[in-house]
Formats: sequence, structure tokens, C-alpha cells
Amino acid sequence: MAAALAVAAAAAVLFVFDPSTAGFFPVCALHEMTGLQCPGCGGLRAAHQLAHGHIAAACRLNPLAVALLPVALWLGLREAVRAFTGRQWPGLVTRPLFGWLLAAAVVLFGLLRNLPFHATP
Amino acid sequence: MYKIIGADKKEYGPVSADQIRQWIAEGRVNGQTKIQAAGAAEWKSVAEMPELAGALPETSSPAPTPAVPATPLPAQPATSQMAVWAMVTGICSLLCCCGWWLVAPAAIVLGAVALYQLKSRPELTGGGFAITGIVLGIVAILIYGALTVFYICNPDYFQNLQNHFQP
Repeated sequence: MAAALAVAAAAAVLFVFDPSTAGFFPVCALHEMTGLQCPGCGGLRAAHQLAHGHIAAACRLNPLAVALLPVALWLGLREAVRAFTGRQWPGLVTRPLFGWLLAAAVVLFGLLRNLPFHATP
Repeated sequence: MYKIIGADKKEYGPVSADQIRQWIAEGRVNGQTKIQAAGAAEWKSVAEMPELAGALPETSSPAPTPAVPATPLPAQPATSQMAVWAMVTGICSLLCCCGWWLVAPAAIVLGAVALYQLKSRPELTGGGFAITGIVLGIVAILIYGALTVFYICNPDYFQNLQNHFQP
């Protein structure tokens, strides 16, 4: 219950304030230090754009986050439904293999977006 | 006092031996039902408990012959939710470099606890998820830890790299 409220509050803050202009969002320590983009960099900004229906802008900021947000949304809703009603929605991560593939995709994306031919600001 | 695992895979109890005998009489508990005596570490079947086996109906052969599994349909094991969360946390630890030092240890701890839990709860599966979480947590620590250490040792390296690629 408390966790659900905390997540809802965080989502509301993220919906109202744009992380690229508001100053109180956490900055990426790795990006601050090295200038490298980690796989999650731009994820909050992308989530903000996505929540306002700007899919293209979200994809420019972090395409991986755009792909993974629906997954996270489903898993979160599934936990909430189970906690409140006891009903079990089908899970997405039903085999460890899916986790390995997802992790490989995350690492690959992290490598690719830091190579010089990639033009993401 | 005893705890049992019902046909719905949920734990019930602790309840008294008399309650268990009544459940046996009502057909809610049978010889194959998993049961754990208070203070005991492992789960046994009711037929293996001499103080309760007497209450079982004759058909379920009270003789201690563990080699004869009487259950015709093997119950589908449930997946440990903690193991699944260990894997999800492991993926997140790779994703968010800002908090990897916080999230990656959480993935490793969750995975280790899940593995420990799986040892004592034979009705649960999910060791693969737990190991995935542990490995991904370690990989995140190695990648981001190495980057951090490298940056601390060579503070100018990445600045030079960026200047090099700037048009």
C-alpha cells in the first residue's frame, strides 16, 4: 500500500515537472564524472515525454526506456492487483532466459550509444 | 503444533495435532500433504509422521515406504517471487548507473536469500531466476565499479576522449 502510493506520487511528480528543466531530479553520477551515457540516461526525461504522448521525443532521449516502460508498468500493476485483490495476472518474465536476453540488450545499448558514430546529444 | 501446505499451495497453521486429525477426517489433508512440526527444519509428508499417520484412512498405506509416490498428478511447483525480483533487480542494476552500488548488492542479497529459501521449501522453484539476479548484480558491480575506478585513476581520460570526437 505504502509502496503503491510512493510510486503513484513519484509518477505524478514526473508527469508535472520536466526533468530536463526542473533541477531537483537526480543526475547520473557516471555521466557527471565521465560524460558517458549509461543505459538508463535520459530515462526519466523519456518517461516524462512519453506520459505526455511525445513518443518521438521520448525515443530520441532513450529508446530503451520507451521499450521497457510498458513492461515495468505491467509488472507494477500486476503486483498492485495481487496485493489488493489477490488475483494473479500472467507474468512476463516466466523464464530466466528472458532475463539474460534483456540484460544483454541493456549492455549492448549502453555500448552502442557511447560509440562516436552515434549522434545522440 | 504443525504447519501444512494446502492443495492451494498456501501455508496453514500453526495448528494442533487434533486439528490436523480433524482435517484428515474431513479429507482436507491426506498422506502426501506436506507438514512441518513446530521447531523442525524440514517439511515431511503426513504419512511420515507416526503421531498423525494413524489418523489416515487405511487406503493410503501407513507403512513407511517412501519409494511409492501415491499422488497420481504431480503438483505444479510455484515460482519463488523473491527469485523473480532478484532477477528484475539485477537487470535494473545494469540499467541505472546512478544507483548501481545500491541496486546491485540488493540483487545479490535477494538472490542469495531466495536460493536459501528454495533449499527449505521443496514446493518452490526459481533457482534459475535467483542465479540470474546474482550474476547480473555482480556484472553491474564489475562494469560500473571498473569505470568508476578508472575515472578516479585517470580523471582527464574521458574529457580528452570527448574533445577528440568533437567536430
